[in-house]
Amino acid sequence: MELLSEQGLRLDGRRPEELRKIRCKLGVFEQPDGSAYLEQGNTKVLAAVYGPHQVRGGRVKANADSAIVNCQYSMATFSTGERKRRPRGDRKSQEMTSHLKQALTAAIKTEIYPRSQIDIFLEVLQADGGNYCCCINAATLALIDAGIPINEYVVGCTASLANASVPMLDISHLEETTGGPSLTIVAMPLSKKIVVAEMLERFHVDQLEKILNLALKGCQQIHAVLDAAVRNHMTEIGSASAWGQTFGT
Amino acid sequence: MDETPDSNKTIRLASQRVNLCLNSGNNPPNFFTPGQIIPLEGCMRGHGTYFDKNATTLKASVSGVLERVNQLILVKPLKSRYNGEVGDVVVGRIMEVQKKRWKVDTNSRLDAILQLSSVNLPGGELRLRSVEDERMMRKYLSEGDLISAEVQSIFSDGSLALHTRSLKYGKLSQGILVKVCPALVKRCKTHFQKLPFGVSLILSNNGYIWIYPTSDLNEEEGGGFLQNLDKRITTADRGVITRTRNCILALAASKMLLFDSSIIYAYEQSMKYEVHELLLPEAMLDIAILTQEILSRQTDD
Amino acid sequence: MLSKDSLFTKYEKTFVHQALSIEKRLDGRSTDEYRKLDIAYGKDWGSCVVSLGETKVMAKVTCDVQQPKATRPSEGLLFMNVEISQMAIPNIEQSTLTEMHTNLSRLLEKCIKESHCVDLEALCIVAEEKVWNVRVDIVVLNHEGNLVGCCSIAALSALAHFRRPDVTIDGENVVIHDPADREPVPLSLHHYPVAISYAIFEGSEIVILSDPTEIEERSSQAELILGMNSYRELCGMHLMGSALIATDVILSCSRKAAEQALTLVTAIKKAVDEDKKQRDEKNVSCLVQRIRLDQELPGSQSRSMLSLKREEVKERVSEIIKEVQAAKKTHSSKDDDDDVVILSDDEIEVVRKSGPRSAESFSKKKHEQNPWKSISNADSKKDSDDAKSDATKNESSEKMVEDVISSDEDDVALVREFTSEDRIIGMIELSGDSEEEEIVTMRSKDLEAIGDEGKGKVKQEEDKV
Repeated sequence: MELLSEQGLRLDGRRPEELRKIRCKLGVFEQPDGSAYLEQGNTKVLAAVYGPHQVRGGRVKANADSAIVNCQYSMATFSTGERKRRPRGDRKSQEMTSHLKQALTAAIKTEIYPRSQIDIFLEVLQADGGNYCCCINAATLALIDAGIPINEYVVGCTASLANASVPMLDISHLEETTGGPSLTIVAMPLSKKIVVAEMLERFHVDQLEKILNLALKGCQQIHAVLDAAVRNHMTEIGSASAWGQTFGT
Repeated sequence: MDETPDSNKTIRLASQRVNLCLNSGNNPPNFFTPGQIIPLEGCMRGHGTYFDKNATTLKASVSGVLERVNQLILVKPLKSRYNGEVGDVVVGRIMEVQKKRWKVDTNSRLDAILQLSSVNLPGGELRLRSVEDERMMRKYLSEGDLISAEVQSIFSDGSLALHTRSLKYGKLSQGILVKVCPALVKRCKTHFQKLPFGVSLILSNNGYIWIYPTSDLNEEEGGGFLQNLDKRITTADRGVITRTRNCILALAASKMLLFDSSIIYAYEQSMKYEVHELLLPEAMLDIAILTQEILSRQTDD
Repeated sequence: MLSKDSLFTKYEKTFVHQALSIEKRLDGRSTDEYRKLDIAYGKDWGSCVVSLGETKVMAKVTCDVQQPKATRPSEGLLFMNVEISQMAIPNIEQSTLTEMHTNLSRLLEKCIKESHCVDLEALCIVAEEKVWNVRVDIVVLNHEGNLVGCCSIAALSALAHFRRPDVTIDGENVVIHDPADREPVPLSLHHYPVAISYAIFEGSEIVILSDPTEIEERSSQAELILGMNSYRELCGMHLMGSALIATDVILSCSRKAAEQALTLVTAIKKAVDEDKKQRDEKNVSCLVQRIRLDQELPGSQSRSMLSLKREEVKERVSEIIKEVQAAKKTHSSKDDDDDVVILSDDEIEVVRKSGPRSAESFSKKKHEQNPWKSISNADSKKDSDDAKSDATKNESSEKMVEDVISSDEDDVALVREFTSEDRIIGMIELSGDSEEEEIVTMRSKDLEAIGDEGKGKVKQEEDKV
């Protein structure tokens, strides 16, 4: 299967440097301190944040100078084409969990919350490529909703290479399986710093800069979308309570 | 919206969800989101802000509204865990009984501490705490008990020290606990409210609201460690309490501030609904809108 | 791989950072320098022990015939298995070990399996029925940093060396020839990807170390692992940690890695060729012959030590000698436990009059070849402590004395001993108003010595009992 048609369009009709449509919503649950739902194309993710709260279950784990970040990545059994037997605990999701934890720990200002714990739960409802990135993006929104201080938005984005020379942004499941290398980065788009980078398959070193820059650009675009959603959400919820009791009353 | 014949459960599509958010029409202030540069110079860094690595620019670390106290710049998130301040009234749940102290969950980031020495023990205010008292700690307060207390001080790591050395604080007996976001509770002169329809409230600053029937007895007796579980609350009283609860939930769902008059107005407006109907999103939104109208009319007057 | 569980003090971390700030690595390498790579092949095809400095990994490739996967009927199978136990990393928690293992095996899979380095189609015997299943088992023998790098080299060396039995298909019959009958055939490798690991330190400026040791890995803020082959192609990347990295750092690393990969792959190919030559001469070596006990034991000399360039050490040593001389003048008459004999500018001999003898006598056997006599660790510390008040300087000077011994020849043994006498004379005079001044116990005659020189900050608590 060709990743790029003769007209330069991708399998789902996008241009190479085009993102999938992102829809997101903050504060979707009542119980957690922060929550978010995010759709990126057909990939759908729910995120919930509890905390910061007292470390439960043995004080041994507690960190005297920073908060512990605890993540759980889980894929709903109905999220993939073939029914998944175990939603979490297999090696892939363990790896995901540890990668999510590292990326989010780098983003959260953990030093503000000594001896506390922050739990982040992620559930993939529908998997259509870029699950890790969607999870990072959803987790960022949930953290913002919970009012937990973070350095900056952490945004994940994937990129690939078609025909060994044309970089493509935000690859879908079909493009993932069709082949070609894939690069996943988690970045802080405002300071243009990279927190996590993962790459599969192979391509020439000289192409790396091109792909990396495109992925970074994708992160910046996603950041703009997320930021707009956050502002919109704040306008909605802040209006009735007079913007956190600072204005109007 | 389809109503299944034999139960009062309703099933609806996500697209038909009622948006409970109210738009009061006042212009939104300037928001800051994490990582955004705060274009002010020569300021002090407050909560919700940080200096980046080369300490040149001030950036926001949470999303919220900028607040300025003289030189101090803070960004206040619209929603967060409870950040205690000395003198706040809190309602909390006992999580752990330790040596000479209790650990209390107060919706803040670390469990609050209630020292044995900062509670009023039965039999005289100022008696010495003996070893006997330490043994009896679980008799006074055990895991799961709810208490009302005041924040006495804040430790360096951010955890709160509570005290109940006033007769209005102490163990809570019969009533309902409602958890809302701490930011929604308006700071008032008194957080102990006696509403006209036979219901009393502790609108605690940490967002744990305690609703209990107004007792005919002297208010002072509610404090301490007496728990009167024998007294029967009449069905009518229970109805009033649950109605109050549902009204508070309706207001909280629309992110309206909670204080005595907003709850009283909401209660009055809710009379056209049955108590259980108050859980329907349409009814909740209706009450919130009506309450907001009354409140805004009042401020206009 | 960052393992955080076993004891790791923040002083060790600061020490590494401070050393890096003056562009020094603890083992004296430059930032891009690799440790010594040694590839030793065993008797069987596809078995090897690879050591990178003190990191040691064993790899063995085996194969058997299996049914192919339904999705890829004409492709052979490649299975990679990494084993890492507390043998390689003592004092590690099981949970951390498991996490390390998951990370390690995923990285190796990414680097070798998912970059399609082995020609799997060539492993097909009969499509949809029989294919070769190649299995790479990697056992970590010792972890001293850059485990991924070492493992990937081992896996690749083993794969490049391995030969599978030859197969002939005669109509319906498939004949697998015994290696004795027909020469086994090597696997066909498309390319040689190796994992190159970098430790990234984020200070006032970013420092990048290639082939980090364990202590460097632990004190670094981020790790960057690049899979790279000799054609400058990237075959996997992994960046993790708390440091925030700009794109140009990754790009410069990848360029550096391309160079490094070329040298590593050349080394692997050379080792394979060398082994082939040996075999042609019917000179097959066993792994046992390659293992030298003195290097394998965890207590061996070259481990966990600092080594610095020789000139620097000489400089420092002459300083120390002067200090020792000065110290000797002040208190040697009173200190009747040990005697420091200065033989020349380059030689010191410490003559002990008490304390355990066994270890020392062992080391004395080797004195003849060595200009250095024995310097007991505790002694040198005590002497230099006397002369200097700066505690940190002491530490470094003391370590450097060790280094001269360790970096020189392997046959020099260092004796490190603390007798109960040495501990009592902890005449550590700290600057400022540290509390430690108050709790040092001393013998009265030592105090007199100090008191005479007017250094007596130490309170004389222990009056003549």
